[in-house]
Amino acid sequence: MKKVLSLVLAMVMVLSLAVLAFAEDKTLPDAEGYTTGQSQILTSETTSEGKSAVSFEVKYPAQTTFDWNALVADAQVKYSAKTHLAYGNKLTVSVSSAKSKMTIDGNDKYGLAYTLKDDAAGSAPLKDLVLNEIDSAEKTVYVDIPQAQWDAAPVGQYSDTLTFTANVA
Amino acid sequence: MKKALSIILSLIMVLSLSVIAFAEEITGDGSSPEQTADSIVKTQTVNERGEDVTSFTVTYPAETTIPWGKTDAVDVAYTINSQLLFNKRLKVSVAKKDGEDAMKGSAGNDATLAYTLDGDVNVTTEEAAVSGLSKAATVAVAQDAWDAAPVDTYQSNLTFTVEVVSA
Repeated sequence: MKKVLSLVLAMVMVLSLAVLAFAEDKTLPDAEGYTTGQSQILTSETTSEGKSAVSFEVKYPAQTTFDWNALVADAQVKYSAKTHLAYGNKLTVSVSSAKSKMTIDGNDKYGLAYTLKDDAAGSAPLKDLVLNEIDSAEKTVYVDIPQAQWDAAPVGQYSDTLTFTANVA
Repeated sequence: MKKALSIILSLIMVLSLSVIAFAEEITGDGSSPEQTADSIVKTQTVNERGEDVTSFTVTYPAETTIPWGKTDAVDVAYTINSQLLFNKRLKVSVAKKDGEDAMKGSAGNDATLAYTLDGDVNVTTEEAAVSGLSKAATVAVAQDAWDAAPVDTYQSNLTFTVEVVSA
């Protein structure tokens, strides 16, 4: 038993010494292979100039003239709108009248009372125009001046102001 | 028998210890006044701790932001450093992440933003050792894509793959 143990111990010692002797012949781990990583790219909601990318436009006439005695189908105010909004937003354009009555130079003695309508028949009240994020549309506002109003008014140049309101939400 | 075995074992141990000490020697018999012999000095490809010393780094941006509406190509710059075995090169490739052909908007926004990936998307170094080699992949979004997308933060991922290849 002692002989065997001595032999084994001697061999262990010899082999341990051999590690140093053959160290310089060790082969480097082959570096073949690959590794990966992720780089995120993302867009900004502002332009290179730092301005908001959100945009919309509403084009409407500065002035619209109706013929004398024009009824609802012929008294039209047309406007258009175009949007490029943030995701989930909508543009609402509403049109309202200042006094609902056209007058001569603001003089209330005589006037043409009117209402704004959504159709040429004058049967539906004016509705707002609603556009999605990327959208465009044209809309006509019908100005309903009843015949009785024309008949009761002295001939002259009557005017009022329509207010266009655009809201993004 | 015991003595004989002890002697044999002792000799084995002594001779083993002698491997390094007597690797080379110069001997002379007096016939020549000068004797020469070579001793080799050489480097290892591992350090003193036995670790592989080949290395590389590729530095790239974690995030690149593209201004809205910009149609000019945007650089995704990266830098390569490598010190490989003499017969190895570093290959860096940049690609759209699998399954992400276009940038996606925020949650609930189904719109996508198409983009092209160009520039230095497949680079193999010309040397095993390079220092501070600057490269740039480029990302571009066409005007049509910007026009068709609701304003939002769209994002995607580029995958950088680095391989050690044979020269």
